[in-house]
Amino acid sequence: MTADATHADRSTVTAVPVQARPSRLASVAVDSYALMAAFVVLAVGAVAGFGASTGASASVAALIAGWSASWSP
Amino acid sequence: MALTINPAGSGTRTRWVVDSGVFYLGALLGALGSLLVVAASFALLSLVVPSGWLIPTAVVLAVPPLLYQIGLPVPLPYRRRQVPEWWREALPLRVAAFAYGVMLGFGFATPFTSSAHSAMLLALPFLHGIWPVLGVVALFATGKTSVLALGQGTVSHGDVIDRLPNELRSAGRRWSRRLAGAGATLLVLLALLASR
Repeated sequence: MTADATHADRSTVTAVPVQARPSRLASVAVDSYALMAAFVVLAVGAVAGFGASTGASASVAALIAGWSASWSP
Repeated sequence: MALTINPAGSGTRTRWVVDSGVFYLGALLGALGSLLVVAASFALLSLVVPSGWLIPTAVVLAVPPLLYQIGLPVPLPYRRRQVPEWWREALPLRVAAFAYGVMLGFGFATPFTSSAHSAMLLALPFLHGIWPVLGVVALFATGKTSVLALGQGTVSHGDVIDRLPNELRSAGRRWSRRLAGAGATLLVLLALLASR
């Protein structure tokens, strides 16, 4: 690469706005696959740990309902 | 809600955390309000329906939202309005955060976007003791508040907008969401039927 070419390359570089990179927490908060994975884990836990009692099942539904409704398209 | 309650809107990160806490309290109170509505409805129903029919009634009521959740065109008597936009401008942010929390936690004032929400509400009258009920309501409010994490590390409203997902672009994501809601609903219905 010649000195001229280097100069030309630099002159064509455009500024790209820097966006705040989402943390893992922020990414998971609005991720449908994370929601599904959480449901599976919680449902298995409710069945295995509490025999899928009404309280345990309602707890799973409460978390899934609140979480999934919070970023509806 | 993350577009309203975020570090840029609140001014500082500490204020944003407090505003998020206020939203949580509002959601908690709203959910307790919806619990009162459902409990009162079942109390009235128990005056005319034998007690053995209350759980089957709850199960039947939860089925149409479940069908809607998986994409079937079932008509539901939901209120179609979302939260009032003008509150963002007219009210101090902390007051608006509380008011939005109450409205979204209550649920009946906005569309139910997940069948798990109605299933959860229909299950609440059949829980034994106040602590399990409060625990379920607290989990619901926690879920409602979780979206505010979207504002973590942002410095402008634009940053938050950039993070919002476009669920409609991905069938996989859309179905993950639908199935999670439907699965949670089925879990509640089976638990209710098993408790008879």
